[in-house]
Amino acid sequence: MMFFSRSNRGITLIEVVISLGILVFMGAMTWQTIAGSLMLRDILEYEDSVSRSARVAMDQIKKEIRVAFLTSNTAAINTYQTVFIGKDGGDEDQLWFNTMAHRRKYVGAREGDQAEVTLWVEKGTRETDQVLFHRESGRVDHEPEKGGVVLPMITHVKTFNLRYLDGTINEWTDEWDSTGPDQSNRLPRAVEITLVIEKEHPETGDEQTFTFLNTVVLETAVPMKRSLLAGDGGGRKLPI
Amino acid sequence: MNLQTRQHRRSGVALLVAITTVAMLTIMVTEITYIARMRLMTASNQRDRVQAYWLAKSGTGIYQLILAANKQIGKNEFIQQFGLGDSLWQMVPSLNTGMMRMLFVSESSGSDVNDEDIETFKSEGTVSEKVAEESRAGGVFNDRNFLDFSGDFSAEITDMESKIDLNQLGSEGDVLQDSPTASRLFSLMSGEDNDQWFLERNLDRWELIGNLKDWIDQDTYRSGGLGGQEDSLYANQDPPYLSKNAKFDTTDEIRLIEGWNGELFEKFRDKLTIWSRGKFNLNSFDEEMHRALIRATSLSQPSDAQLNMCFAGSEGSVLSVWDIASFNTGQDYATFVMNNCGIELDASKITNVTKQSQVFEVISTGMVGTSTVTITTIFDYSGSSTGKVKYIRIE
Repeated sequence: MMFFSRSNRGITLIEVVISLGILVFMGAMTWQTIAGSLMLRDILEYEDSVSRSARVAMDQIKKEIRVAFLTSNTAAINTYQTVFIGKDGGDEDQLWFNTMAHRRKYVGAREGDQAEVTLWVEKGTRETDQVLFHRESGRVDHEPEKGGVVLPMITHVKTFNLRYLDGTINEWTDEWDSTGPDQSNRLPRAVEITLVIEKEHPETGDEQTFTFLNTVVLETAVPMKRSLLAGDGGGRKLPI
Repeated sequence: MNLQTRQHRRSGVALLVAITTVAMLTIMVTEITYIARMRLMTASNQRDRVQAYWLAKSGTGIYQLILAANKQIGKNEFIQQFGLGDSLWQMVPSLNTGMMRMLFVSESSGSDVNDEDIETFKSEGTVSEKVAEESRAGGVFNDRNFLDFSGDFSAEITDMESKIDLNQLGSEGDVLQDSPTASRLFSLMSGEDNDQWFLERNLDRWELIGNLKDWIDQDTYRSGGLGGQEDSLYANQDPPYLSKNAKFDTTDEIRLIEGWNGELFEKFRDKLTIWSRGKFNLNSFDEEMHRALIRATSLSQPSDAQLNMCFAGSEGSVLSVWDIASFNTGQDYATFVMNNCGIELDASKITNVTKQSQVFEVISTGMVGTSTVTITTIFDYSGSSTGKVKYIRIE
């Protein structure tokens, strides 16, 4: 007589179905966890890339604005003019200024540490949307708005907003003009930069908004004479 | 197919599934770990850079404190009597917290700095972790000490009155060779070694100095009797540009001038300034500047051998007579040079002498890990007790 031990008897249909059920359940759970992890990784990578590019752009803007300068030699406007002009354009502000943060790229180049810089937002292509542009000229001349190299800094810019702290009246203003009568050859004490990037997520298609806010103190600006915390009018006099 | 074969095949599939699953999990975990590691490194670098920036700021801040005290002490008449009115900053020409750590550890009981620590400091500019840790332990004040922070900073100070101010070239008359600044600059570029250097490069020193003058003076003609238009020097550049016809705003601007864009600027940049308003503090001159002044004001041109003898220290002495000499006027200086070097100077040419420097350059470097930030600041104390920032560069 043929005899099968319990271990060699095979498996019943019920056992197969239950095994498959457990396998499918475990597989689904595992897959869900893995898929969730992968999606989270993609989202973080995407957010990282947006933050990184914004941070690089912001770092450069901060570095240049921090050492902005205006010459005291204002007589030679036909050969050399320095300005600090910020124009309010709603969510698309513009700024022209001179900085001492220029880096020479080539040995022997006829450039110093001074530069003319312009920042502005302009409509780009369908893929890039609004782009923040950066112009830098390694030679300061009598035309502060011309010459130099233009490069895109960051794409999908929804807001590029600048505010300027007037150190003499302790007030923030939306515009600044060192060539005008009110702020004649004067730098703001600080500049507040707001950068908002609005970008569609490549996979989910959701519109995502990233906001970056920074305040830069201008090192060569005249120090404030009254405490900002003390409010307008009754401020404590600080030593000059 | 017999039973044994069937059993064997089943076990093989299970093993394969297990290996594949483990492999997939390993890849995933490795990738996630790698990304996390990259993020951590990026964040650490960012943190180190911020720390290095503030350490560099600390070095600058300490010198601001020293300079403010220097200004206050300088006003004291009693101290001025002894010619010490401008001495505080000269007592601390440089600061290095790495060196301080090694000094403190050496002095503390039970520890010592070995040769390896000194080599690490020499090669990397920072002390080893062991020395840094020991220097933080214990405190001079309460339970913390001055060096209880990670990273290090080094800072140094120089006064602008010990250099040649090129901005004076524009206001010292039309004849280049009669300008005191031009003649001091020419003297700085003189001497046997420099003569050879300029000869090898076929450079005319007066022409180069004339180019500096032409950049800042108001007229449009070339100085030094060369003839022609100033702007012709820059007309062929890409893009062409014009002479500024105004004072320099930064020292680096000199690179824009014909002949000064290369090694010439690097060779003499340490001796040039644009900030001193033409004042000279003879007490903070280095040997090269003394030599230049003696050449520029001597009645008969001294040879290099004469000057070498003049600056040779006495045998067995660390300090030379120059290190302990103090000058209040040009006449003091001429008398000293006559007595010690036997060279007769025209004292009337040693003008704009000051006993107290007012404009200083502080170069401070913060170091944390592999991050380094250098801040160069020019402070002007002539109109302010806290110092006005005239220039700043962050690298």
